[in-house]
Amino acid sequence: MIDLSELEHDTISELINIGVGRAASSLSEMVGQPVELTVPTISFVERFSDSELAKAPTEVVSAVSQRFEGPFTGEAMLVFPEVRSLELVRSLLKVDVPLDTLTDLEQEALMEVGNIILNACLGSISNVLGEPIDCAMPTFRKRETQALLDDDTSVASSGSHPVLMILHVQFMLRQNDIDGYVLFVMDLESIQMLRDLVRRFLDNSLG
Amino acid sequence: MSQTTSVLLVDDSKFARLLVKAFISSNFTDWKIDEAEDADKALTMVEDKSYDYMIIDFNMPGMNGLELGRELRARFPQTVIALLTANIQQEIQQKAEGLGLDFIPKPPTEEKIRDYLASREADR
Repeated sequence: MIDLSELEHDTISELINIGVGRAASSLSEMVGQPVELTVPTISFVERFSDSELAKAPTEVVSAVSQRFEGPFTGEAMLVFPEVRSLELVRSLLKVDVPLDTLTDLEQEALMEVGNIILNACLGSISNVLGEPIDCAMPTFRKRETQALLDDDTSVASSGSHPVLMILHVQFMLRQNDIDGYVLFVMDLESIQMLRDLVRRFLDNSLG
Repeated sequence: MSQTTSVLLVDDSKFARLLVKAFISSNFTDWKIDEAEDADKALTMVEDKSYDYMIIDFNMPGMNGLELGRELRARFPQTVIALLTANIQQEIQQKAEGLGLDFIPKPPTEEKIRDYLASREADR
């Protein structure tokens, strides 16, 4: 679907790895416990429903999404099961608050977590490639997995080239039994631009 | 400068303000902390009151933290102004430095906020 050499593929995975590593370190600071990460995987699909992630299509998830623009554009998402989201908020708050306040704060807290995590990812990638990336304000969605990318502003529905690169890495907070994943979605043009920047980065790095 | 140390927190996230406020209050019990959810509100608040510290987020609706920081720096050359942001890109850090703003990477933790303010207090 897209022409990536093994080294380019590996470099993109490593870039995401660095970004998510930074994000995991931020999350770990916030919750005061270790955060485990899986090795990032990259897949190309024409529709989100074709991806491995959509295999539990009716599971309700909470997602914080942030559009980004720069040399390449796309959408980054932090996704976790809805049933665990209050637990995550509770572990983030170092101050005791009543349950009502916790519920009131849920969306705010998750948006801020998403903002920190996704910026850590994108910021690290930007710093490595030496290309500024602008991030829009985060938005919050709570919906079934199969409808995760059904949004007017989503890359998935806007591109003339309906090829999605799905970069997926899972994170786990074992003490709280919370897991979730980070997802980057880009269309064909952006994938090609990212590939070109990775080639330039490799040329410079390898001399 | 007023006797009680005063802080203005500018962040569109209520959650972020709540955390940072709790971290400051638990370490500097007599400090007065005001909050604004965006740049416009912050600019209105500084019309009537001066602050020792201003801690501002970068990514906000309307004016962003660097634009607000530039304006506040021009009006309050003596105030300690810090950009507290999740956006860790070098470009943002360099711009903040160029404007004379401190840079504090999110997430805010109690140690990070306490140590930053204690070190700035030592300089004042």
